[in-house]
Amino acid sequence: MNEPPPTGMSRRRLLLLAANAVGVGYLGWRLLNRYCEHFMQAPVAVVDAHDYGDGLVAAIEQALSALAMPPNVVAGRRVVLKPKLVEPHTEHPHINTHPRFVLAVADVVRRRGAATVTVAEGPGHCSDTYQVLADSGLGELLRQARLPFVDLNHDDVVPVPNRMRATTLPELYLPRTICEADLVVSLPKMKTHHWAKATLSMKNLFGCMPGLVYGWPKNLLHGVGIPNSIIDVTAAVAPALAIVDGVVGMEGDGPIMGTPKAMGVVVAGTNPVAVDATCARLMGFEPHELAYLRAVSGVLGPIEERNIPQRGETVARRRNPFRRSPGTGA
Amino acid sequence: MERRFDDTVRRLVTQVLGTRCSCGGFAYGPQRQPYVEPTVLATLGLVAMPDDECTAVRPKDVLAEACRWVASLQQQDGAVANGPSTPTAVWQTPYAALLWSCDARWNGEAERAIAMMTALEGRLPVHGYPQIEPYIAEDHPGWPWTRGLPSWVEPTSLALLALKRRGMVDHPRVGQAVASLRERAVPSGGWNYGNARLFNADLRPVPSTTGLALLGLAGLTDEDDVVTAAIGYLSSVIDDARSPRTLCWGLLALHAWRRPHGHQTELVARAAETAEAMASNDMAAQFLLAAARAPAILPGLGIGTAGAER
Repeated sequence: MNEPPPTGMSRRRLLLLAANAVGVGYLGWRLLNRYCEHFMQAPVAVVDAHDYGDGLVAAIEQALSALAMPPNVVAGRRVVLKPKLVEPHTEHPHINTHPRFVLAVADVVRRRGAATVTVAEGPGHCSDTYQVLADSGLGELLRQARLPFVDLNHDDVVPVPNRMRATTLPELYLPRTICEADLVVSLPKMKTHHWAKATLSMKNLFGCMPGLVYGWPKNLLHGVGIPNSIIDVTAAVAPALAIVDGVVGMEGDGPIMGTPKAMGVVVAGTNPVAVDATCARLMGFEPHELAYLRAVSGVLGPIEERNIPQRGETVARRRNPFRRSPGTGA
Repeated sequence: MERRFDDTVRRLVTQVLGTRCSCGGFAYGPQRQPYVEPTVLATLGLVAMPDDECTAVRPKDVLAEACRWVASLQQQDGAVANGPSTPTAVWQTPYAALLWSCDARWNGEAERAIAMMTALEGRLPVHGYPQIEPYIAEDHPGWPWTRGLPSWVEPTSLALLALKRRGMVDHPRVGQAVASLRERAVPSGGWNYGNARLFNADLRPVPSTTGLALLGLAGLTDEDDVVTAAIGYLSSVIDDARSPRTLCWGLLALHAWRRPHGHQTELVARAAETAEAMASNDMAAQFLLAAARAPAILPGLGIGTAGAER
């Protein structure tokens, strides 16, 4: 019996065409992002702050004023401050956002008319949030300042669709406190990180993901890829303001075993991508080196210097390279 | 002091009952959703109360309702969801097995939970997970927080408590988990969360993890260098512990290893005051009630019961 004549394209040709389509699609996606990045101007302020003393409130206020935010960004809003608290080690305070930094930001947003101010965190490593709170010194300061605290690791949770889908997770579980906030402010420590290279305002949002669902150290998110998780979580939490504790950062074996790095800056902005790109430059990284920043350029915010109007100090003047974490191209 | 401590315990009972939901489960805080972890610790704490000191409720009723509510969360494979709104998170399954072990009528549910647990191993995924981290090999697998991921000290220790409570001290998974915990002890004494070392640096021990790991090991191994070093570390930090969770696991662990803290009541009373001063301190009352009921609560956690000693 004769073989039937070929009626369509061969399997090899089909695969080749499919591969080309994927390649062209990816190229198109990257070009589109670069194009979009051009229209994503987001200012970032860098302000000097050399210690955690009385001048810190003024420095943070100066940074926010430099951003020229409309008053209604804060006034009348239910504000949640999300600092970075990782582990309970009294003798290593540079692991966590400094307690006085958190209080200074609370002071500033209260003065700007916030309806309520809540401090909330779900520590990334330690399931005992209140031990971290006590050992960091933040618990006592919050008590004195009558600022409420919510443990995001054990808060009631609400499933939300994963709109970015950078990971395979169809939905994300967020703490009710985060879902009900009008304004989430990310307050990270400026640190190196042995997986993400640098942990800043976007990575800080891992602390919004409840250990109740994701385990520790938010292990499920590690399993589906850290950079992609950072992207999904940032899009879900959508912090409208980021203020980075770069007064004393951490360099070397971050995020927990590194050494203090006196940077003397506060970095603030309304777009966490732009803020993190600026911090990366200050720390001696090119933003493109950080996989999660590279991926969201033009999607969630700008990372190119020309698209980030600089307020306050210049990056060039305050750049002070961090010793990198082992395994990240020291 | 004794009368003052009785007052503290009475307040703790009231606070614990303030987190009880109409379904019979308990929440991490008042007027919140119920979850398995607070439900089990609250119930074990109340059941360990002397009858004349718990007049507000009948602990037997609390236990029956809690068992029923937790059973409503059990899935087909025996896993128990942490709560009604978190069907994919099941790391609190060992707590459910501990609870059901208080009442033989729930043996079937407990056995199904245990069957799921013994089939679940921590493992290093080939794809996706960061490969640069020098995680120790899972030659002796413990238990993960989430399916398909590596073992960690806390879920491994919780699983050991449940298996001991079921009298399964000779199960191969118990031996593996004990070996896993030994490998993960930090050289200075105690446990971090997972590894003992990271990028050639020794990690720091953490009191709550250390307390829970010591509880997990109690009755399964003789006191050796690893255990002695961990007890030494825990004893050196427990006086400064302010957190109910740390205090609970720490004080119970010292009891389990026959080193009861001489000032247990003072530490619990102080922590209760601190927790009351902070408007929100999730599960503080449950943890502190459990700590206050040491050593009476230990059998409920699989320690010191017949069949739970090797």
